[in-house]
Amino acid sequence: MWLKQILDLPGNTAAGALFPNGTRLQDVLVDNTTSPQTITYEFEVIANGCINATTITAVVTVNPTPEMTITNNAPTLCPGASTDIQVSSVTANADENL
Amino acid sequence: MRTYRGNDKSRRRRSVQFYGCRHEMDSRVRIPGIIADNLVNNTDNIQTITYRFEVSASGFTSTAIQTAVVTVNPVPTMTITNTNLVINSGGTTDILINTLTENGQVRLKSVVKSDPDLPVIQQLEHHSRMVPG
Repeated sequence: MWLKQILDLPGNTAAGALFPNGTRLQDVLVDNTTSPQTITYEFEVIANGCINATTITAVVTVNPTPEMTITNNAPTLCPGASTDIQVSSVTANADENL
Repeated sequence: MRTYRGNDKSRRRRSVQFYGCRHEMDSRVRIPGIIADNLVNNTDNIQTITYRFEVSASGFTSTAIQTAVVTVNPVPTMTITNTNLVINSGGTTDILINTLTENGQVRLKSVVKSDPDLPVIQQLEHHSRMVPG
């Protein structure tokens, strides 16, 4: 379960990509899970055949699209009865607003 | 006795942070010998150092000069500026990549995705699978 969930974050540039000076890494990331995900990019610099062993990481948190489910259990009411509308969300940290 | 002496840094004005080479006055040594200078290039550019040699024996110095040129690459450096620390699904990262080192390029070494709510041990297992060999 957890493995499927954390892999469902497509859109990132693949490791091995090279960037010249002044480049911006602009990935459109889609979080298809129900909770915030993080993606960690690790960079290394190379010049003239020499590699600096010190790497730098950049971490981005991607929030999922909030989803909700509304179930109206009593679409028709008799006099004096109460509504029964069930509101739920599988998205982490979700708040439903009426 | 044969001796050598002298060196000459090229690009003198640009190599003020380029050090480690021997000075002329202390460079008289017996030949055969090995010059093993530990050169440090603290600039962003490739530097060259030119050693100029003259030989003398029995008080007679030859007018023939020989040179040995060594190229010293700078330590590659980079800066990474991550502007969008948190994005919504479908949003765009904005990571500015800079390297001022001559001929420098920045390579994306690895990409690791994780769920911060997962137990640490599971994230570590995932990390080992994602990092390319």
